[in-house]
Order: sequence, then C-alpha cells, then structure tokens
Amino acid sequence: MDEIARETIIQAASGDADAFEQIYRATADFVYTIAWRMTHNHQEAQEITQEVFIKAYRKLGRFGFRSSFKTWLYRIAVNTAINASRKRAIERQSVPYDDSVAAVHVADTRDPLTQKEDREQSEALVQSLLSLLSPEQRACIVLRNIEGLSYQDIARTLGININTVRTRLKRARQKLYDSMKKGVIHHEV
Amino acid sequence: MKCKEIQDLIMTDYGDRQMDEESRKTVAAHIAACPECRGFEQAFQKVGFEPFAQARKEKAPEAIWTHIKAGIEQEQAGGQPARLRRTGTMRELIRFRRPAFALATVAATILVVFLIARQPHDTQYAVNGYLEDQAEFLTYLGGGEGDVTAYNGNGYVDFGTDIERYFF
Repeated sequence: MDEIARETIIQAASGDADAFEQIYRATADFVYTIAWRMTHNHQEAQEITQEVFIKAYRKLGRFGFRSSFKTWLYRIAVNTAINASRKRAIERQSVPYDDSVAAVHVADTRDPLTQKEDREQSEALVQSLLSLLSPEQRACIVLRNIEGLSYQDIARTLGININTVRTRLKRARQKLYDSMKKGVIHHEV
Repeated sequence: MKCKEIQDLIMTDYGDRQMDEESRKTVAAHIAACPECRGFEQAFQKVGFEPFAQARKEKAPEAIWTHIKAGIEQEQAGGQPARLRRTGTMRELIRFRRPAFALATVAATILVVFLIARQPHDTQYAVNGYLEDQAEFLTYLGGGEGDVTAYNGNGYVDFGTDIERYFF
C-alpha cells in the first residue's frame, strides 16, 4: 500500500480541504470497491464511502502516525461496510446479500463476440460467490482476491491476528468449494 | 505432509503465494505426485481464485466527493454534515458515547448490588428470630414471676426468681 505523505495528513487534519481531497482521491476507489463488494448495491456503497470519509475527517486529528494511514482508513472502511452488511442482513431477515442469486450458471466461453456477456457473467459469479459468505469472510476475500492485500496487510486492516486471516480465508474458500461440489455454484469450462 | 494439510495450504498460503519458496516447492512436489491433491487443486482454482482474477475494481462516482465536500464545509461552518443515510441520522441520535455508557453501567451495577444487599436473607431471618426469642425470654425473666440472680463482679445480684429462691 503506497503511503500518503505525512504533511498532507497533517494539513488535512488542520482543516485544509485540498489536502483532504488529495487523501480522498488516493483512497476513494479502494473504499468504494470494498463497500460495493460488501453490499452489492451502488447506492449503499456511495453512502458507506461518504460515511467513511466523514468519519475519517472527524478523527483525523487523533491519528497518531503509529500505524499506516491507509491501514487506519481502510479499517474504518471495512468496519463500516461490515456493519452495513450485517444491518442489511438483519433487515432482510436471513437474506444476507443483495440479489441473493446464489445459483448462477456460468459458461466460460472465450468467443470475443461475447466478451461483454462474459464479463457480466463473471461479475455475476463473483457476486454470487461472495453472497455465500459471512460479512467477515467476505471482507477477507475481497481484500485478498480483489484488492490483492498481503495476509499481513489484511491482518492490520481488520485488526486481527494473521492466523485468523488464514482461518477466515480457509473457511470462506472451503465454503465456496463445498457449494460448487453441491451444485449451488455451476462453473463450466 | 498429509493430503489434508496440503489441501489447506492450497486454499491459503500456497494458493495465495504467501509462503517462502522452499515450502512452496515442497507443496508443489506433493501435488505433482498425488492425484487426489492435484484434482483438488484444479477444482479449487475454478471457484477459489479464477472468478476473482477477472473481478474489476470499482471507480468511486464523483458525486460522492461533492457530498463529502459539502458535508465538511457545513461542519467547518459549525453545522452538522449532510448525510445521504437517513437511518444513519437516527443511529447517531440514539447512540451512546463510550464513556457515558461505561459510567451508566458502573452506576447500574452499584445500584443492583446495593438493592441486593438490602434484601433480607434466610440467615438474617434466623438471626432476627433468635434475637426476638432472647428478648422475649429476658422480658419474661424481668417481668412477673420473679427475677434472676447474676454475678456482677462484686457479688450476686438478686433478681428474685423462683430458681433463685429454690437454690439460695
């Protein structure tokens, strides 16, 4: 994770809107991707992203440079997204994820004429796979498989032990594998 | 290593390339020699890694920054930042701050302990009963039929009871 300059953070903490915008520009896509992958809902992802940066702005003065700034911000983002995801699951009563399309049939055709269709199907498969997981497991998979964070960075971002990261990833992937074996997810090659 | 351990590593460190080269070679050698683990790895790739390799990273819509900026400006001006989330506003209203919550918990605990302490217990009833019996007995002794004799340090004091009359 590329770090944000200390000076920029200090300026933003003292109320410099331009400095805060620099921070936003450097991190917004990551935060939005997490929010979108956690909720599968663009409106909600926008609200979460907005909430994350408002929280960050308010807490910026208390950031003590003891950890990486991005880790600090991403932790706010993941926690906010997990909470939103949990709340959504409660509201929807046992439907943990938007669309709840767990059973998706994906034909892995490589015909260039159907590339767009392929991408859409690929996206649908990703979302349906994520829908099978708990918010905590989903966060780990998104951070690792989509954002490409190392185990160490995931541990720092989530504020958990690196072995807990391993356990969560293993359980999440085992669940995906079992679902495929049971035929919940169909993936033809 | 056993196949179960190898398959766990396929789902984690080996699959994610988070292990050192030497360990990786050991796992790869096992997979190459073991049809079961090779089959597992190939099947697992299709659901554990391949779908996510194509997953796109999203671009945050510009409208978000416009809202955040407006919120910050409003906050700097002394007001509350604008929020998209209606439920969030309600949550803010009913949310307790951590120190206030801790203080309330301590106060409630002290109150509960105090109330429990004030409740009479079985042992207390027994003690009270015993004291009442004793008081009643003393009243009886000091009341009608006669008095008792007691040694007060200087000699016996006559309380005029039947017993005293019988013995002395």
